[in-house]
Amino acid sequence: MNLYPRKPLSRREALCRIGNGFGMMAFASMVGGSLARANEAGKPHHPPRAKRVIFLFMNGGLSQVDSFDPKPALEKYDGQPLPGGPVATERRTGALMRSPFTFKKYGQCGMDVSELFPMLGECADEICWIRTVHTDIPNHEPSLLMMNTGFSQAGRPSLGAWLTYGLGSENQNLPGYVVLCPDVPTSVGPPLWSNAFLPAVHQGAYISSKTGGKQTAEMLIEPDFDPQKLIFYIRNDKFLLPAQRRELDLLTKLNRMQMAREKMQDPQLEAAIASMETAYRMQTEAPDVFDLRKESEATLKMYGPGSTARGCLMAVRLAERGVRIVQTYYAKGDPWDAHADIQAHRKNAKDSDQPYAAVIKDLKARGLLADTLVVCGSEFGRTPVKEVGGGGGQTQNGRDHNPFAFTMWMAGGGVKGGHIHGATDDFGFKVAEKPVHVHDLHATILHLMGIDHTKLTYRYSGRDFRLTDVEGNVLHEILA
Amino acid sequence: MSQITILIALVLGRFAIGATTPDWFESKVRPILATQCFACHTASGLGGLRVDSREALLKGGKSGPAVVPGDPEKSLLIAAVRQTTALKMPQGGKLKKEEIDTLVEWVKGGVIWPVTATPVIRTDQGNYRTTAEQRAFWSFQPLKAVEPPAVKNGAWPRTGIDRFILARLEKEAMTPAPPTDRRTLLRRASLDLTGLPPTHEEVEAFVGDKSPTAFETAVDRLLGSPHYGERWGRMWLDVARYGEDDFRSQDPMRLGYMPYPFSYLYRDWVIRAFNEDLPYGEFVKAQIAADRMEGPRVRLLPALGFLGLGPWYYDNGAVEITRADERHDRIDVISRGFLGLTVGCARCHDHKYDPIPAADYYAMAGVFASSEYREYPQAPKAVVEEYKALEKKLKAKEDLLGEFLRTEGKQVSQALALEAEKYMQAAWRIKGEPKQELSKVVDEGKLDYELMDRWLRFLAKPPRFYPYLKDWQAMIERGGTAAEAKKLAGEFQALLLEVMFEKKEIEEENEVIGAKALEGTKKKERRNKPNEFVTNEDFCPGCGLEFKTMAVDRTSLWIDVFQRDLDGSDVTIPSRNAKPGLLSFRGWGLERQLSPERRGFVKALRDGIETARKEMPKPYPYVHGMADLEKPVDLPVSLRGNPNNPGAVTPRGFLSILAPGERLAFEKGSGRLQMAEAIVAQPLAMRVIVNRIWKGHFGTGLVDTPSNFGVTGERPSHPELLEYLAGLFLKNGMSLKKLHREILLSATYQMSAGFSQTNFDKDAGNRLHWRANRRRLDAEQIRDSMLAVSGALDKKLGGPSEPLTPEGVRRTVYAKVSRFKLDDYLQLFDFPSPNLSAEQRFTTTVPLQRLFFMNSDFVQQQAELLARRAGTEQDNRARIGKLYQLVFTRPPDAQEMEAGLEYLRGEPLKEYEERKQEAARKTKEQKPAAGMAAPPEGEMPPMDLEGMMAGVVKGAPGSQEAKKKLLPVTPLGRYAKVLLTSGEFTFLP
Repeated sequence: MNLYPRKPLSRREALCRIGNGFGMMAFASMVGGSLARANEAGKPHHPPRAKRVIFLFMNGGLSQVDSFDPKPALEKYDGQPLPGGPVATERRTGALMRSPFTFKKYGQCGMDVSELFPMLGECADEICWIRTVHTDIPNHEPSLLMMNTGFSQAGRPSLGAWLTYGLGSENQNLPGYVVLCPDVPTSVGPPLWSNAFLPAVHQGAYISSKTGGKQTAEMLIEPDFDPQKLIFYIRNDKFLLPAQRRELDLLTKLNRMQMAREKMQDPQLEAAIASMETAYRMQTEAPDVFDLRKESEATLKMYGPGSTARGCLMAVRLAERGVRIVQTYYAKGDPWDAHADIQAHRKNAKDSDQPYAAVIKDLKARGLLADTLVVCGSEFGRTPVKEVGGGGGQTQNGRDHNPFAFTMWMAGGGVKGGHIHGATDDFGFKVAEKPVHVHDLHATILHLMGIDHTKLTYRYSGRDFRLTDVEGNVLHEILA
Repeated sequence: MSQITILIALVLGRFAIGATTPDWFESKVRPILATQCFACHTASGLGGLRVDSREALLKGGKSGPAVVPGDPEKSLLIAAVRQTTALKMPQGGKLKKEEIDTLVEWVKGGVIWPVTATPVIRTDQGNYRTTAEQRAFWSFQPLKAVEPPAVKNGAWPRTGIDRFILARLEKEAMTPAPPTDRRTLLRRASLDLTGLPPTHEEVEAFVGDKSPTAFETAVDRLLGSPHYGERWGRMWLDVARYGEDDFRSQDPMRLGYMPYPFSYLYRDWVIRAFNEDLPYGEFVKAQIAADRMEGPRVRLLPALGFLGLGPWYYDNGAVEITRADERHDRIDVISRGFLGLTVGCARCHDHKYDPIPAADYYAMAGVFASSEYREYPQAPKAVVEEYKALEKKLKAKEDLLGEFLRTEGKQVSQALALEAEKYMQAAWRIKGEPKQELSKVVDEGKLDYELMDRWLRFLAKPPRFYPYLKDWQAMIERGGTAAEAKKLAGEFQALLLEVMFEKKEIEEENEVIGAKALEGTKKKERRNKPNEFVTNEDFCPGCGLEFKTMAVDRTSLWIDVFQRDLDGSDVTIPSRNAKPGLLSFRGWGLERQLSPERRGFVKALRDGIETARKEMPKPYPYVHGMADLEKPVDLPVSLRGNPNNPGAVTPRGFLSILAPGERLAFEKGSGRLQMAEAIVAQPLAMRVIVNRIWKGHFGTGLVDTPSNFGVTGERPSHPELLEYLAGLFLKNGMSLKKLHREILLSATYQMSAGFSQTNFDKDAGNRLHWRANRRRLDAEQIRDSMLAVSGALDKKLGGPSEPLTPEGVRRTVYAKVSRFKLDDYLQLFDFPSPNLSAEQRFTTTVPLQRLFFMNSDFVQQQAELLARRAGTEQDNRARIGKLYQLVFTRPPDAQEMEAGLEYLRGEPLKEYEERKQEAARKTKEQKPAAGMAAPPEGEMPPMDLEGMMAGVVKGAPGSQEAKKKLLPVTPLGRYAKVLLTSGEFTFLP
């Protein structure tokens, strides 16, 4: 008899509130793994091509015409006004400006990559290049929010939260969604990895990937590096695990006594008891994953020095252990935001080219690339025209924000390697063919993870919410 | 275990949604029909077919019946959408495969069409008419006068409520659970009404009170407690999406968010309103329009925080859209919060399910377009004026100092530029052919050591950004003569002066450009108010201007010399923390260069500022509220929700479905007060609040979608009971306390949570109230309960919010509530997002919560405090007894006592052994790096964390003070912690 099915609580939601995603791993293990029937609902909508995501975020806005989308017309018309008049972006812009960087063709696909990213260029055939991503608003904050949460204002769940909500985590001893950066990235911060109204377990676990030790340019790892200092779930340092074991045993005993005494049958209390055991295990297993000292010298060298490199290597280690999505931000603030001088990209690229390439190579070496989706890019691109006037008249050779077209790339799980998708206009300002809105990108990422983006919904506040709202088309063309 | 598995499967079975439920129809089928078919096949009836009711579909059109229930293959509708025959629908398009599948499934399932769901129909080209059916929808009806029904078991009911509940149970041949024991009842009522557990003494007194009105007395005591408002006010704050800051992107305060420093005035007002039992009508009106209400407003004004505390979106996006987003929030929180209607759905199109046209949405939006953010000082006028005057004076002093130093800095630079030749020649003597000692050259030339040093470094810089030093460097390289050096130095000095003057001219021109174009825009300041973002210029002042610049090389030289050092980086714009440019001096470096008189002047200014700062009184509190614009505006409908795509202008007004005839127009000011009055006059508003209170007590509502009483919301489980309660509420002058009392005194409330297989099989979700619902305590109840039994709780009422820390002892309702970054503890225990109105709390059970119980400094500290309360007892047996009394207000049974004794008996010795073993293992495994040695045996290592999650989540470094306050860990404390984190303590019985 089904007198009053509670409307806002779908079966999936019910499971999510008890366990950890409708992947159901946690819940099944809590109640003895015998929930095979209920588990049906927890399966992805279709067979996934990727099991996990590593999102390398170049916060601030990488210039596409200086990296992955060369425009010979810029050489020719350097210093001349944009035909048809200026396009409104955040700030006042002036004449077209050539790229100061040289380009070279890489791989069998013949992808043009600038001198900023030679090592990534070497991986060109592993990568699916999307040159026509576009977003709505030429300001960091709304665009960062759009890229991360599918909505321009703060307060919606992030891509990562949706993924763990939909799929759970493969490793119950680690958070399903991890965000890495030495210091809080971007001018937005926590709202970018918020669970918003999804259950709290889906919040991104922000972990500072610095340990406070002194780093030098050559140092692959500081002598006083200590993974314990990074860990999110720290061990109780006031007493030891065996002592804690006895606490938990007593607690379980008392809870069972109460249940017997009151002839109680309460799945909530059962779940609470089971979650105690999971929590106990987390304490010992979580620290291990951040211990980069366990990597070989060769691996450390492959990534090179620096905090971006460390974030990348941790991302791979987390992915290896079944964390659903890891976001590694380049560094704190908006470092790619080259308003004043595009040459600022040089340092940023130096820090990220090697580790980004290493992520691809390392995943491949570990046999993980086939089912790990690597996504890389910024919240928007930069204008092919130079910025004028900002900074009190001191701007030199900078570029403004460009929401109309920018390049992102994906690699691994389920996308075509060596594929170049879409084309921008002669100057790289706007999309010429095959536009890809951020919603489309999200739809595609979810699709690759086995989720139909139109079906991953959450009823809150009187309506069904979706990562892609009422938009989003899967980019079937880029699927392998 | 297997029994539990079955149980869970049954529970879960409740949520199964099949192709035959109203839910499924509303969420899957109706949207397809509404978007794809209704345009032609409702009133227009093209092809003679209507598709807006089951009957119409069965009747069909010119080609015959549209559907054959149960047989999609024979249904014309399916053939048409599959487009396999000549009949292809919808015209000019094709449904997605999933949509076709849905329709097939629907037909296969028998073409269910829920009776209560009435479609919205558009007729007459955009003229929106509601149908009689829509007006007949249950929640729009006047209140029905109902009498409690007759029941068979006349002995059970205590109040009218019980008769409704029992009648329904009897209809299903179910029986209510027996009453709960008195100890549990008081625990339930206390936690429920005040959020705090009862003390042992209170329980004893209640159990010992044999009077028939004992519980009534207890309920009255609890309702009279100021803690009642702290508990139930928070229920409303969830709905009101109460937050104390907003995320702000262009972040001049460098916090990432804009705090509302006096937000607590609203929170405290809500708590007080509950405690004083302010009639609900006044409660509603004050929150929407206290500024427009008659009579003394002072006590009501803080209510405006409901609107004034945002969310505001500042400069977080395109201006028009951002302002529209803010209005959307107000419409959403008001319509769902007070009326249970999802008016927000009508922003982009007419509501798909409820009779709410987009025009209604924009009629309401106009009210908020006609209102703006306003701060209302909560201090006498004289105090406010004095504060403002002092603030102005202080600012004037600060500006004067800043301006003086800037001017002096420029003059110093200019003066030093005139000495360029001298210093360059001196540099030649040091680095060039003469190779003289630095000190000798400086002393002889009466030069400045630091400046000489700067020049030497400057002259040796590789020529990365400008070519002007190339000749000089070549000359030094080849050992040029004094004459050559003099010539080049002279030329360079001339160049510097030239660049300096050119820059000055350009700056003056740019000032003119800036002043002209920035007219009317608001300067971006630390404390821009939410209403100060109107144009795109406000968003990014000066971003639209084209300023003049010098040639690139010359700009770089200017920067390098007069502004900041262009050093190692590749860019021509130095970073903020770059060294000062060659001739640029600031701070002490500048003051050193000044004459003694000027230095004296600076010092006097500084002292003056210091004194003025000290003399500043504490900021006076003000309400973050709203006010009407002088000239109210009506908004056009935004087509497809896009403010840049305006349609017809809609006069400000109320929802048409809630007016008997034409839509009620708002003409007084913005119309907020009229809107509030219209809301309070609605029976719907009464149903909604009564249902919220019911849900607060029982966990499930009579309508379990408490903010959605529309077509897609739930129908009431006990419709007559809802009418009865709403009627009673009105009769009682909209008193919430009387409503609580009515509910608590019912037998329904006083049932036990006892299990019955028969009942469970019929109603697993307990929607018919055959027993009490056991619920995990929420975030506030957990923390407050622990503080209460540890004895640490500070019961002070109201005041500014504080961050939650392990040593914090105030009630959780006074914790900071951030929209930017919700407190980790609150988030972990399912506190709702303050960005959106929350209709209910959910309960999650996740391992991190257990980590909080196991490892957090907060829980450990409360446990140690609790243990101290029992520690003075003579032996472990007595200590355990005392702890049970404090925590559970009962003695332990024999089994529990034995378990406790056994735990404590083994504890100290075992711990010692383990520490020894662990220490041995650690030394063997790794040598701790210097400075990170493990703490000595038995000593507590310092904690480096702050916040409630200290010990669980890595956060900011904690204060030394906080560390000192933590008690050492003891075996009895750990035992107490087990009790505090047990099911019995953390669940509402």
